[in-house]
Amino acid sequence: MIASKEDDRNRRVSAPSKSPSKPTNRRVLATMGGVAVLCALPCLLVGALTGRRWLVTAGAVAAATGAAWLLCARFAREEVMRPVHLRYLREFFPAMAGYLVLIVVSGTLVPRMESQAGRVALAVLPLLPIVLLIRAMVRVLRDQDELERRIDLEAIAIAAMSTAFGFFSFGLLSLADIGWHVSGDAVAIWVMPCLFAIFGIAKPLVARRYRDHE
Amino acid sequence: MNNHVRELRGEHGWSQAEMAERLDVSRQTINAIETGKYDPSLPLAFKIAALFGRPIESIFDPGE
Repeated sequence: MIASKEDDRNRRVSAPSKSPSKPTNRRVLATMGGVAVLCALPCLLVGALTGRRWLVTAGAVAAATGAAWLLCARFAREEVMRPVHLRYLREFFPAMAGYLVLIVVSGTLVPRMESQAGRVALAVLPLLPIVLLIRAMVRVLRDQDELERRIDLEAIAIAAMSTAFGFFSFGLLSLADIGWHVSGDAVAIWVMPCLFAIFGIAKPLVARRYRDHE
Repeated sequence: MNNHVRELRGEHGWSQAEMAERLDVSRQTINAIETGKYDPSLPLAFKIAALFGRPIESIFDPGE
């Protein structure tokens, strides 16, 4: 009874104000999910109409990510976001937007470029915003509180080991020549998305260990 | 490790969110400490003790 009253009070006091100056995690997740789905639709449509497989794949990844964020927004507890996480989002989104623009530019121009130096420059162009993304992630890891850092580091460890295990298993099966014909570049391209996807799945599972009835 | 964080927070009339803001940590961290799911680091334990104006050993005890 006491715990229940206290939980009610916690919910009331931690309930965010309606002020737009204080973004809440649910609102931010819902916005991110909506934007990702809206970006995915033209990618899927244009990719399907023009027969560009990479654009369809990018659209599918964006749609899946957006759907996951919308699902998280549905079940997340309504809380005001901490400044460290707002700063992360301010650094994450411009970098991600830059990546999306550059990956389309790179994917469109590389096949038309005849000079090898030009192809190399265009191919690595989308890596520049990825460096900014990594910087944003390292900064949030350093500056968030100790429990948040522990959860993130455990999730990263699980993601890194699972990704390595998965790709190593795939390599062993390919060596056994069981009829899979996947190019090495396609395999390499999927390492980072797999790492992020497994991190996204692992993090809420790790966080559950530290959560009581709330 | 056992602690009296929840009782002391209640005495001060703070919500978990308010206490988290005072310590510059997340509400989830306060909840995890109160429920014994997470033992804080020594620096955070000292910050909690300073917040309540009590010696650290009166808030945290190693239990069995």
